[in-house]
Amino acid sequence: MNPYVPRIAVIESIVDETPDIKTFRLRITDGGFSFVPGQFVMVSVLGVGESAISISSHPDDAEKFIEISVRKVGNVTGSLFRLKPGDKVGVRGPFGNGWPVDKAVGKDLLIVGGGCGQGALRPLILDVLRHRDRYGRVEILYGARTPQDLMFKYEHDVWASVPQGCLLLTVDRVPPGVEWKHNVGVVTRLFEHVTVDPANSLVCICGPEIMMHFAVKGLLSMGFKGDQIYLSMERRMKCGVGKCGHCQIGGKYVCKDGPIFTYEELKLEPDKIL
Amino acid sequence: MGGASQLFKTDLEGLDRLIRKLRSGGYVVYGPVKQGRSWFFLEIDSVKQVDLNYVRTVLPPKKLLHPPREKLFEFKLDDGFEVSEKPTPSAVALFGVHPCDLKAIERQDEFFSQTPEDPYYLARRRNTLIIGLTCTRVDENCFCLSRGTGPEVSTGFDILITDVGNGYLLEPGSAKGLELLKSLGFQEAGDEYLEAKQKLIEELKKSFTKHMPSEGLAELAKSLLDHEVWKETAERCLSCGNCSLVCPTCYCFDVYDVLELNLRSGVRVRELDSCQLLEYAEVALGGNFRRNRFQRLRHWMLCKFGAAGGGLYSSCVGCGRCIVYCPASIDLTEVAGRLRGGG
Amino acid sequence: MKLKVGVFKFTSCSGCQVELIRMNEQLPELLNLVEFKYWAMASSKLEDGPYDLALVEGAISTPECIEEVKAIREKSRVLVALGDCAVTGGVPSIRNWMSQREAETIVYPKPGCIRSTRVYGIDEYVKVDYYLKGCPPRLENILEVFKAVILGVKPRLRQHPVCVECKFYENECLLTTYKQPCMGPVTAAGCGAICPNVGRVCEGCYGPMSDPNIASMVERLKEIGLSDDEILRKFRKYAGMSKLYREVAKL
Repeated sequence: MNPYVPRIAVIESIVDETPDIKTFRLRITDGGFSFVPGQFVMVSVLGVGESAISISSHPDDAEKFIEISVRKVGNVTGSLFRLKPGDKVGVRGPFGNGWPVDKAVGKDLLIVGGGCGQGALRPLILDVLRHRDRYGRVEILYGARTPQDLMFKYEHDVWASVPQGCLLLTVDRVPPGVEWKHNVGVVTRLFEHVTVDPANSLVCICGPEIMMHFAVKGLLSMGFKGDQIYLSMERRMKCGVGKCGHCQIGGKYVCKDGPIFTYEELKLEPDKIL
Repeated sequence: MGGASQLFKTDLEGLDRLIRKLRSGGYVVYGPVKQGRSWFFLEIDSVKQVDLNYVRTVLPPKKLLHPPREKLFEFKLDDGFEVSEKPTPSAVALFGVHPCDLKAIERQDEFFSQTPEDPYYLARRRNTLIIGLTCTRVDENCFCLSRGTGPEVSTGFDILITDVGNGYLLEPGSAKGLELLKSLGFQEAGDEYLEAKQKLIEELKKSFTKHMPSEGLAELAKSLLDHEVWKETAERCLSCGNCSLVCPTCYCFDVYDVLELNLRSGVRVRELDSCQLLEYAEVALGGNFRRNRFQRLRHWMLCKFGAAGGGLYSSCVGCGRCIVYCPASIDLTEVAGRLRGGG
Repeated sequence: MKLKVGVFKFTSCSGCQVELIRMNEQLPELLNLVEFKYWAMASSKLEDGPYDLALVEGAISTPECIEEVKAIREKSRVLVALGDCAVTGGVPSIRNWMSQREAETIVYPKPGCIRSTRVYGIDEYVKVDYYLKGCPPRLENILEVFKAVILGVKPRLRQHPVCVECKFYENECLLTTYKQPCMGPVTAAGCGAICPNVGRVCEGCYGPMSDPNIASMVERLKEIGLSDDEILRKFRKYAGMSKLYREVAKL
């Protein structure tokens, strides 16, 4: 097995999530695929390049499809946006560790998402929905720039109806003429509504690093410990398999030691905003 | 190890026969050749081209195992695309590799063997025969002694050559090496050859002037991320990348696609990269977690001290190349000394 | 649909266009993808825009040029500065360090009819999408821009220093080993280290790399014995008008 050679995947469908985020449903053409929530794939548009993208669908569906939710930010993602159902992309992976779904059994779960970081959290949320009895109380906090920038709007009602749980939404600003009945302000402002028990819970966060920085600060002051706070980190990756070096944060490889780390694991490492 | 295994001896002509034998066996042989004021691992067909008294080459022999630029695969974009991988590499013999570089190759071997294995490196490595060479001199930028990577070495070679003055001691380091030595009909070396080698090693050990002991360095450096030495040194640093590009344990690479002008076929390439370059740690939308020069310099030095993601695999073997080729005369042993509280 | 391309020239030696013409065997392939609508050096058939891609060679040095380059921008979807003169003013910009009158008198027997401005790269007047650095830019870099514009992506024009490419070729280091005034450590790569490959120092023709440590480079050049004036000229020669070099070039 050559870990650098992508498998071929067909785009089955595309959902416009926001003005700059699309969800692509991919079918791997040459056999099985399995992953755990929080893992990522390296997606190739051959001739343009390759990018690391979190899987946003649930592992139970992996035999049929995987989904990736992509924000248009560069050459590869920009080229993905021009593709249509039926077009082919390259996929390597899955890579990385994943959310602590086993450790979370029987515990309360606080899920904090910011912007397109919600893509990496969706498999975890879907896991809660499909295996509700595994977890205690589950609270989902999700913030975006504006109401239009919220992903998975078509699922929010389902997320919000989780028994023993809640979905709290917030946006940085509401453009004139847009209807919005939820909160306005940064996602950490929602922390005052959090009711999970810091003594018996895990927190899973994915979003811009500056948002995670403030989220960690807030959580620590609320009594959560560094080893209860799980963060999905993002760095440029060229290989995904711990060789190319690019994704290092000090002594850690985001691609193989992560992408999910506890704050405890990362707090002493250099070259981060956290 | 010496005592238990068979030892051989030969003269310069015998080394020449060894090279010819390798060539006739299908190996492309590379050895240290002097050109201008520098040495390079170049293809050789005779020992006469080799400078057995060389100090260090510009690029380490890494260039033949993890080349600066290589094709990962070719692709064709037709209906979707198809991918073809590259063929197997030719057999290479590295002749005259010094202990520091032998140790570096051992570390790269282990690094690229981690799961998932790197098929390109390992395919090349499996087709590579390594003939080590004990140094005959130490210069002001050598510090393998303090790194535990030389001047004595017991693994990492198929054959080790030592110039003992009146001849060459040949020590096999693998079954393949032993077989080769036997097939050349070299005579067995007596104890006096080993004694002469020991004497040479002791002399070499006395001539080191530069030191950077490993003990506790990684932990110390990680605990001193705010030390002023990083920013002070970065004022001189040109971020030219030379230190990492000549380093025998730096393995970082970039990956990119090159599309033919027909826009229908192309290659995916990997190319040696350097964490000293601004673009290295760039993320989407122009973000960069090592935008400041001192952060890049610190990351590289932490890596060489064994405190970055590569751990021991990418840590320093004391070859001195980064010091020799730094246009700004930055010396990581001095930085280590400052961290230890000196100067 | 083929990409509609215009090639234009201002104050320059035309060497960048020559580099494009030099393409030879790749030309038929390129012509499958692009159509040169306007390229005075190659064809007398000149068609007006709009253009998908304008390659603009040369510095802007007269009031007329300013208006012309603005008009080209209006007509072009993607505008690329082709070569140093268009990127920063290039070699012609060295006259910015003397009086206009002095420069005109050196060059022209009867300077009375000359109307020129200070020499700038084209981005002094128009928005530039991509910069093809170099004197001239290497053909490979130019073709990269063609491909990228067709694919709708950003071209891969790396801004790291020449030292990187030089080490790939394992050249002897002219700066450290020979104490020669090589500008490699501050100069953007892309050339393939062609000068060091033949044993000559990098003259800095690709202009500054992404984050040159200019102060340290000046110190290095002093160390090997260059005078302040020689150092000044090193930085002025190709890219003295670049934003990164203006200070050291004492504009």
